[in-house]
Amino acid sequence: MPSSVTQFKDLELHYDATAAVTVTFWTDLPGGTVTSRRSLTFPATTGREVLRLPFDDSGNSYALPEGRIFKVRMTVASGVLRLFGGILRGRRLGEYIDGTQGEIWETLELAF
Amino acid sequence: MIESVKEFREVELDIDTDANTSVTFFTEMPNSAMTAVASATVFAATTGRLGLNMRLPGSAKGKLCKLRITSTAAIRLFGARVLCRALGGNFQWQWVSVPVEPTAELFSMKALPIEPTGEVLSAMRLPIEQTPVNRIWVNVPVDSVA
Repeated sequence: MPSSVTQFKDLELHYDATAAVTVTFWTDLPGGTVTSRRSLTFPATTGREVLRLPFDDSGNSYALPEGRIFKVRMTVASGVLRLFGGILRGRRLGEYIDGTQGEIWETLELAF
Repeated sequence: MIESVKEFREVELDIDTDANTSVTFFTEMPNSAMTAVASATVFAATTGRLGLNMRLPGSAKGKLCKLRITSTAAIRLFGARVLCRALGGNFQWQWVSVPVEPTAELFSMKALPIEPTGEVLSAMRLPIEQTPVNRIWVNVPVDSVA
């Protein structure tokens, strides 16, 4: 059974950071290679905070990143990050056809 | 059981595509071999999800049909249906859905694998040797008197 494709909506972090946190989100689609798709900047905090940032914004034509596998990388430049939790929101796509890898969608012969 | 011959008029797709998309419609008539009766690159890249239609020629008839969708980029297919009617009687045109794997309407949450932080402080002993509670006798070395 092929693995399902997920469309990712946003990322919520429970964190405490003395400097801005850069979060890079990677997925494998389209193309099949895990590639950086989005970069989010979580601001420095005063104590522990919860913040949710969307993946769809005007800079990406409000498109959502998609993939079968994903990776999250967080970096802090000249600061400290205390990470208490993180939540990704997404939904499973029923039919995703990656034309860049030569995939096609075709039905069986149908008898209505 | 395969039913009567049908006439196919239109294909409608509920789709989100990143580039031009080709749709090919097959039937087994004539010649009893599945053959493409209509094929066109009809859909340019969409901005989000859209319902798009493709008209079929009048020669699109058969008991069986097949649909193929291709593109050079990513396609997200949410639904498809075909407008058809049975021949040989006073049958009405009707939309028939093509089986498409459903997409969830709501987002669900997934926690990232982050090591949890304890909510309560706990005590941790330092490695310091304990002082005995009771005093003990200790022999003091005294030189013996010859």
